[in-house]
Amino acid sequence: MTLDTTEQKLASGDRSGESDATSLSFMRRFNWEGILFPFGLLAIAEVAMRVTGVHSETLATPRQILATLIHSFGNGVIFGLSAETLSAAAGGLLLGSLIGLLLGIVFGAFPRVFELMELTIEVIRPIPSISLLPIALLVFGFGYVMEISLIAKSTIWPVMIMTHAAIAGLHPRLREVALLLEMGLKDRITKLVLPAIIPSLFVGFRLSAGVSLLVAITIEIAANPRGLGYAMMRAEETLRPDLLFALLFWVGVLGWGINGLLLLLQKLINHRFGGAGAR
Amino acid sequence: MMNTARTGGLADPEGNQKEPLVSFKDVGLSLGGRPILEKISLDVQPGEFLCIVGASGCGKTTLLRLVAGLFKPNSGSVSVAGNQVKAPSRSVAMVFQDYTNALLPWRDCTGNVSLALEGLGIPPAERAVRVSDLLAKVGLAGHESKFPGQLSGGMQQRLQIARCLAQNPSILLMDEPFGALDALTRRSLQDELLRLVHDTGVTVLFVTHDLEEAIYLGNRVVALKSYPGRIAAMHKVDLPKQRNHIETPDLPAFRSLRHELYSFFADDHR
Repeated sequence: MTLDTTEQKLASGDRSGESDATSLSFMRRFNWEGILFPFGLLAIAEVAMRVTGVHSETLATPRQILATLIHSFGNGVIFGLSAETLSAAAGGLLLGSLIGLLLGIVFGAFPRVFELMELTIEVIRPIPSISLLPIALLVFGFGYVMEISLIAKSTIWPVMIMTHAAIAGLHPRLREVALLLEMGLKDRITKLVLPAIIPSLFVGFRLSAGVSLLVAITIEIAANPRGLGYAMMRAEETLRPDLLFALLFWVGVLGWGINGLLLLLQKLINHRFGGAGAR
Repeated sequence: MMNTARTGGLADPEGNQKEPLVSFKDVGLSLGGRPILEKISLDVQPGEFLCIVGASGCGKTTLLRLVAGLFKPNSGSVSVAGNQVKAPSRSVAMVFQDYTNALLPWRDCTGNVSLALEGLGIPPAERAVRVSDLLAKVGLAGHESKFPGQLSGGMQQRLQIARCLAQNPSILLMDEPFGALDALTRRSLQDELLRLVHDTGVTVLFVTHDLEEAIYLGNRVVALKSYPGRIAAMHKVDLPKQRNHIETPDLPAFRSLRHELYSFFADDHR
């Protein structure tokens, strides 16, 4: 170790961890082809199914699916189902992110604690949430709490990892600036550490948000009698392929919308905290 | 805030009867078992501009860190204004070479300077006035709401200097502050630094690789030698208070000191 090592440590660099390639499509040139493409596919499916006269208990024509979707909007059923799934996903996401944030901060601030817990965490982390379903059912029974607990289990990790890495990667210069200005602990956290890690933290949160919807629907399909997942199972059992596909389509739209919203937010956050105008 | 202490800046480094502002007494420091500095004894007078030169790894930066209270000596003592340095203090400011890491990219110029004034109980209105005065002083008027990422390297370094001056320090430590800047920017910042130092009367310890920079800025140049770092030579700079880049380097005193320092370090590398 020479004395100038701190000089040689370069900035942790691109804290956003995201390239501009993922920026929202509607912020670029309006992409007509990209929008027309799926509608083209649907039109082909519609024509093909009518021409061949498919009559199936597992498939429905796009027109039927659309009619069912509109009907579900009309009677409000789909709103209730979405609210059940999304509230569970949001609850689990918030709980999991909070735990992940705390763990990440503790691990970043106290490397010894991380050394102590690393093996434990790394063994628990890869266990699929769905395989904990039996235990969760035993503990919580059916319902909201069980679903939230399993979603939280999966959403801890992206936030934890990103927070930990961001804190470990804080430039030593920030600490020295804080010392030289005689800043207290509260000011150091609120004025230096948090703003510096927010871009990374949000990337973790966005990844967790995607996971939360996946896990929510998986649990509803597997066991929990509520939400969009359960409605899909019911549609399958009652031989309603039109409803099943309408729900599937709606889940896709929901995921797309949520991701788009979070990407937009991420762009704003990166602009605000990552050095406005610098990228 | 600053113009109160016109102690003359460059004018009066020779007042040896004065109490030294910074004093190293037989200081030794090792890090990880390796001796970094050995038997450093050095007094810096108030208002002095002391330049520290030496090869990479000779302990120049460590010397500054000892004054800042970021390191503690293993032996001997470092004192500022008669008090032994135990922890960092707002009266000692430090300008780092890597301004990008030392500035907060999420705060604009005003916010970055204001960081040094927050938590002191200054009313926001007064703070705003002081911040804009400081920004004007370092030539950043009109850039108040720009973020560091929108500024050139030279402007970012000015911003860091403004933040350090906001601390109203009695000692300004500068660790190769212009090392990452291009030659023209460096020269104009050198001149502006001399003006600021003259205006504020702050005492400066300035670390550099650049021997000409050391002579141009300093009242005194200390040369360190490495392994372990120790004071190998000390030169007074006999140049007039007013300096400029066109004539000062041609003065005989400048040229002879440059000659002396260059041959000193040339021997060192043989």
